Amino acid sequence: MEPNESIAWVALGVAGALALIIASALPFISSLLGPRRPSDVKLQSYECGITPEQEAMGPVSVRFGVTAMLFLLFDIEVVFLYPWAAAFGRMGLFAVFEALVFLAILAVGYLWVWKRGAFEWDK
Amino acid sequence: MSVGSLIAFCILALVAIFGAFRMLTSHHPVHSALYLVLNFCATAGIYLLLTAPFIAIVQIAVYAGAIMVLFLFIMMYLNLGFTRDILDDKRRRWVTLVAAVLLGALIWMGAALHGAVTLPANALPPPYKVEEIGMVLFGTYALPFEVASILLLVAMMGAVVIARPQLRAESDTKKEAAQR
Amino acid sequence: MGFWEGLWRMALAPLVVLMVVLTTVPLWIWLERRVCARIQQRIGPNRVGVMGLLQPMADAAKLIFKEDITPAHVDRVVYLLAPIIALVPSMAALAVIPFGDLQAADVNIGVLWILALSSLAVYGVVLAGWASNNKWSMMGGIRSAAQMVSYELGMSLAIIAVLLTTSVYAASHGGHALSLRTAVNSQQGVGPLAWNFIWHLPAFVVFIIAAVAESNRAPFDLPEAEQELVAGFHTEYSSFRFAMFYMGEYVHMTTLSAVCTCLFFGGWLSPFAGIPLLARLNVSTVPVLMYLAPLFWFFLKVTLFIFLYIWLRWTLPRMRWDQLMALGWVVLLPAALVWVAVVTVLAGAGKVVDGFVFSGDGWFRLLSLLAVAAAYLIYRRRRGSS
Repeated sequence: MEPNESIAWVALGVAGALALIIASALPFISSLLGPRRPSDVKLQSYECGITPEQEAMGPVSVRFGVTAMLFLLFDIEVVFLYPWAAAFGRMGLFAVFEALVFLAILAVGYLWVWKRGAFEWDK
Repeated sequence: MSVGSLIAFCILALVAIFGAFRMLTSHHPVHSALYLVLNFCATAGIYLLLTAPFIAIVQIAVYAGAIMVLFLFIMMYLNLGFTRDILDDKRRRWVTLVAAVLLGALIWMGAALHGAVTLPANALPPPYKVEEIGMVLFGTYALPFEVASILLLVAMMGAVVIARPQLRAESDTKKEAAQR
Repeated sequence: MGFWEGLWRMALAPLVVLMVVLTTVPLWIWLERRVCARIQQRIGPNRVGVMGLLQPMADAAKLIFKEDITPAHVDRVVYLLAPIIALVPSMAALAVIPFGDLQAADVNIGVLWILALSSLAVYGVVLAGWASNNKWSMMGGIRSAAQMVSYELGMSLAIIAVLLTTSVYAASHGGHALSLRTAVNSQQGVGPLAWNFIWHLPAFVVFIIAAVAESNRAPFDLPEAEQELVAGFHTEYSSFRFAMFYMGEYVHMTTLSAVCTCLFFGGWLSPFAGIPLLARLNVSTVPVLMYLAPLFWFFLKVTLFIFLYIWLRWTLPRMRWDQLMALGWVVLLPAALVWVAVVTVLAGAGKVVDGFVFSGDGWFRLLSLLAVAAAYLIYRRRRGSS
């Protein structure tokens, strides 16, 4: 790597580490400064005053799973588009056309999924 | 490789191994998933050291950001409780260990056959720009790329088809509740 | 490069940037409370410090001395970790933002770094919700995760649309297509007329809506919808861990506003640059102002976006969950997808006819304006007939 670029990557790592340190230090300081007087009622799950009856970590709707799966697939598509967008300025018309074909194939998938009601949460 | 990147590599490799190990030994699937995210992030850092920033970012965005979110949803959906059966069972533990060693040996042999175990000193590829990946992806590898998009299309349909019975059951319960 | 320059570029610049941004958080909180009060015909906090400016500091000092409660049924490690995970990605994302000359890490793939970190931002909220082992938190956390991933797609595609024209600029003027610095440089021209928000209007609108949803703010604040979920994913959090989520929200807003400023609002460029008469106000000849002016314009633009966030929050009612998901998947995603295809065609056409009467960029702008106008007219006509 060019020296300038490696310095930038080091700086990026430093920024990430600093963010982590600051974010971890703040609640730590607070836990030192604050009082600590736990009681049974205080440590209960908050359910507006009613004693909780069952665990909260219960099953959720399968629609969340479908959403996550569709997100994953579209995300892969988007990730493919980033290098294409970066190279767009230097590309010939063939590559531009090719990307349009790529988008069209995905649009077909999108329309199919839409027709099957994957995005309807009120049904 | 400079001293700085050697140190960085050692730290990242240790974090990656730690993450992978704890992923296997954690008591709870959600904890396992989080250790896997740690492992992915450390691996992304190693890609960066290999001057492959695009792969590093994809590793984080797709693996840590999308696939692991999907895993978390599935775990929450299935409400997987505390499981330790694989590692509590002594015989399974040994079988797992032997299988892991055999797999490692297989990978090593495969790499050795292609002479890739010890890299030459100048094996590090020259730094490239993401623009160049785009040029190659949409030039030389145009056809595989379009095939990949068809794969995505099929996966998209599959996702909805698999979830369909569940979705229908859920909307039926909702309708019944509304009628009452 | 000497020792001091190396130290500045590798360690001090990131520190300065993070500190400056953390200092702006109380400022935004103050702005939010004052503007909200004005919108509701109240006065708002005005007692602590001049115009109440020190009120957020007083609140922070209060929160830091409060008891840090860890309820009995939580998943302890994840519960304690979640607020940290909620704050780190949006802070680290700030490292690649060019505030004029000041930039923590001048990497040439800044846009990708933002993409990676915004995909990690989901974790803080979803883990907080799950680890709290509380029904409200659980609902809030899982809603938030679904919401954030859904709107991330529209946002990424909006960014790609801008990258296309940035890439054309980078090919002719040099620079890295994925660097935010290049994105700002490509918007040099006649003041605001050269900024992307005019020529990428659909992408800009998609980005703004997605940004509000990504930071879980009203009208998309379903993860913490008070009336139904108490406080959503942070119901169980107290003391400074609660404040961390609060801070995280504002840092996230700042990050997204800064990205928006770079991509659509000309970053640090002055709105007077390139305008014949006003260009005389150009301060770049005065030594000190030369460094301060870009910073000033950048922060002014970021403040405008923060104000927009606040204005939206206290004006619009909350959306319903199915409407929210439908907006993300059925409106924003296809709109951004279509706009990427349109920009591909128009900018591609611009490259072909480059130099014929206008430059390729000029052609793209002309065609883009025509496309948006045509879409608007078709929409008007269809609405009128039905």
